[in-house]
Amino acid sequence: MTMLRVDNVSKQFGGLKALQDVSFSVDEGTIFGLMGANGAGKTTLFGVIAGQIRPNGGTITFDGRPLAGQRPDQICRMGLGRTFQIVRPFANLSVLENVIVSAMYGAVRAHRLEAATQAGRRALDEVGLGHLADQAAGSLTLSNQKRLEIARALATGAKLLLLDEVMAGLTATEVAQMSETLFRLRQERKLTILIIEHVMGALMNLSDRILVLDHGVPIAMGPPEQVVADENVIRVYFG
Amino acid sequence: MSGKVLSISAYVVLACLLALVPLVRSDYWLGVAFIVAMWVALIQSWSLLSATTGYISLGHAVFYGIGAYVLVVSLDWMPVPFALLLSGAAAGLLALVVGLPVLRVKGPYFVILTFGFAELVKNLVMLIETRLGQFSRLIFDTPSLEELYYAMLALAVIATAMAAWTAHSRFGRGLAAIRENEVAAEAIGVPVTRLKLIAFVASAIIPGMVGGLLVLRTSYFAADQAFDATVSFTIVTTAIVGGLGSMSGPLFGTLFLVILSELLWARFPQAYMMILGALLIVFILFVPQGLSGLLRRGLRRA
Repeated sequence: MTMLRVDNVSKQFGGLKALQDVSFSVDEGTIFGLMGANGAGKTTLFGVIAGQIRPNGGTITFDGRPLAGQRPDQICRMGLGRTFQIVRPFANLSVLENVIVSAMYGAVRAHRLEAATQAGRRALDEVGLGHLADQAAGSLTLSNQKRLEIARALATGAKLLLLDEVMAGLTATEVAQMSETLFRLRQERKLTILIIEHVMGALMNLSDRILVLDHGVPIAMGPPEQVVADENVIRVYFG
Repeated sequence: MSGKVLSISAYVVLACLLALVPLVRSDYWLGVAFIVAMWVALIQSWSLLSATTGYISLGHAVFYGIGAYVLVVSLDWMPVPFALLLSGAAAGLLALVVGLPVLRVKGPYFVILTFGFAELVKNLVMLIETRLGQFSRLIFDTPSLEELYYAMLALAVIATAMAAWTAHSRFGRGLAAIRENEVAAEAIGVPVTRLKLIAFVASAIIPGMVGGLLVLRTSYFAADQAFDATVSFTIVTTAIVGGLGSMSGPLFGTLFLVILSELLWARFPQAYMMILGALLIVFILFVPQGLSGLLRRGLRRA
């Protein structure tokens, strides 16, 4: 079954064509990778899917429902969670409070504090932040703040996760751990994941399929081994 | 948990003590207690929006003023309690109408916009009153000071209870998320526009009724006084001096303000505003967590 379907999506900022006729679909339970150099339009695409950025054209269908005209909070409650490349923690709240708000307002609708705390703690444990629950979110290291981004998206009860460079700045060991975590989450939570990553090896290892963007234009799509062998990709990446 | 029970009982005891003030049979002390209750009601209401979401309103005098105006006009048509409820409703309605456009802007723009909006309404009401040939209005047959005091105390208690409930509710957590990072809040499902609007309206209703009560106390309405921007400034200053983000902050701030003004107002009215300004600077620079924060740290050390 198709979890996410993007059809001919375009976005222009003034004269800059950030996205041009981008189309792809993500099957339920798979990990779909987005590749491309800086400025290729990956984060813009995330913003368009999650409702923060209004596209100039094209349609997006999530879980069988069109997303046109929906606000980010409505899209979240439909079961789509995202992280931000530039982290946005609720800095003055504790780590636990960060995920409690998520569970209270997200798709799980755990309105009561006990239920929200339980959902929040589970998400923190899953990303390995359980022992830091009482710290202020602003005092975490950057890599832990990236983990918190994931925990907060998880705690909403999302079916589809949009992960924007959650491995940037992590050490090789941490990257391996994070990959393992993501595989396990997909298994246990039956998640579908759309992931942007600069760490090429990790993306190859994680993704079932990959889409490569270059200046907003899709230049290749397919399984990882096929994409790395694609001559367009080789030209853009290795010139 | 026991700390929470303790602080709730402290508030109940405080409210009961304040309810006994009329037994002192002194119009001076009753007047002072009336002013204390008034500022607590105003500042707790303001905090509901500004301390929780970080949207600092510098125009809360507009709700107080519109409440006063609606009361003075509607008193010809209905008994006092209904007129007071109408004051609150009018302030809430005004917040609902202006909230949508105003809450779109953030930070300093929001501050300036609320201030400008309050001045606009003030001048509009002054214009209307002048056209009607009314430079001021007198009210005859006002309720006794004791009755007005109990009404004001009730507003202070309701506003404090609202602040307490908000702090621990889903609603309050949503507002805190908005304050911390609005984009992230929206991305985790917080309906930010709706929540901000609810907070704005809720923070306007009680100030509307406070304005109505004060006009009954002074039995005199003049638009430039009812919409006096000093009220807005004093709310913000007192809230900061008392300490944002805690239920006790508005209480400490008010006590400090009332003591200060009772000591200085009669003797050095000019110095009063200067000292208020100086205090604001000192607190923002050196005691950003306010009196309640100072006290909490002091207690922890002890």
